[in-house]
Amino acid sequence: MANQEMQVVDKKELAPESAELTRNGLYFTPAVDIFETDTELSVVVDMPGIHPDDIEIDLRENILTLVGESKEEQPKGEDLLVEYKSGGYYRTFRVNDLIDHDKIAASMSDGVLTLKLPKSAKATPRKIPVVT
Amino acid sequence: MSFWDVQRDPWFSEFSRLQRNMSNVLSYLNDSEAKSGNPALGRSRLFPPMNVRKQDNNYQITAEIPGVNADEIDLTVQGDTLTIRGERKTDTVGENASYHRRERSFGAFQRSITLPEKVDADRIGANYKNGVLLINLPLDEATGPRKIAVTNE
Repeated sequence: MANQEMQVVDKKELAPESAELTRNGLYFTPAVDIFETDTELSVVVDMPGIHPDDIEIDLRENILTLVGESKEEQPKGEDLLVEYKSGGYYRTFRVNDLIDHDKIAASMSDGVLTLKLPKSAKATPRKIPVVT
Repeated sequence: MSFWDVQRDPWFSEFSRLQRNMSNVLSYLNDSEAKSGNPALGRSRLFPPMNVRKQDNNYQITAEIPGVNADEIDLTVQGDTLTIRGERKTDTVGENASYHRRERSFGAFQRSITLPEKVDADRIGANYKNGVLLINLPLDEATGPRKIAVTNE
C-alpha cells in the first residue's frame, strides 16, 4: 500500500504580474487536484498553515478565486534550517455554466480545502427513453 | 611518451571525472544557496519540508504536512535522532471520476534529523494544526556545565 513515497514540491511563489492583490506578504500558488464525476466537480487544494476562517472563496463572472491568508506570527528564535516559507495562497479558476453556482460547498480540514461544485441539472447526463 | 599515451592514462580520466563531480557539487551548492535561507545547510529533498529554530531553551521544528490525520503521524526520539513517519492517503474519488489536474502528491514519508544538543525526551511536545506539525524540544537542563567536586583523601 505504501509503495508510493511523498515527493517534495517546492512552493511556487506567486508571480507579481499575476497577483492583482494589493495585500502584503508572501503568496504561493497552491497544489490542486481537480476531478469530475457525473454529478459534480471537486477541487482539492493544499493550503498548509491556513486557518479555515481565513479562507476567502469568491465566485463572480465565472471566475472562482481562492485566497488563503496567513495570520501566523513569525516565530521567535534563530533559524537553523529553512526549507519552506510561510505565507498565503492564491489561485483562480474559470468555472463554466455547467456548474450550479448557488450550490458550491467548501470544507477544510488539516490544511486541505475541498470544494464541491455540483453540476446543474442540464449538465448531468440523462438517458432519454425512446417510446415506441 | 606520445600525447596519445597521456589521453589513455587512467589517472587522466579519473581526474576529469573528479572535476566533473566537483563542478556538480558546486552547482548544487550554489543552487541551494539561492533558494534556502542558510547556504551551509542547503536543501534536502525529503518530505516533509521543515524549518528548525533555536529558541532560548528550546528547539522548535515546524513541518508542512497537509491532509494527514494527527494520529497517523508517528514521531519518535531515540538518542539524538528525531524521526517523523507517516502516510498521506489518496483521496477517495468515485469510480468513474476523471482527473483534470493532479498536482498533489501522496504516499508514505519518513524523515530523521539529528538534534545538535541533548533534548529532554520526556518533555517533547508536538501539535498538528491546519496541516502544520509543530514540535517543541526543550533542552535538557542537565547538559549545562556541571561542577564536579574533587574529593581529597
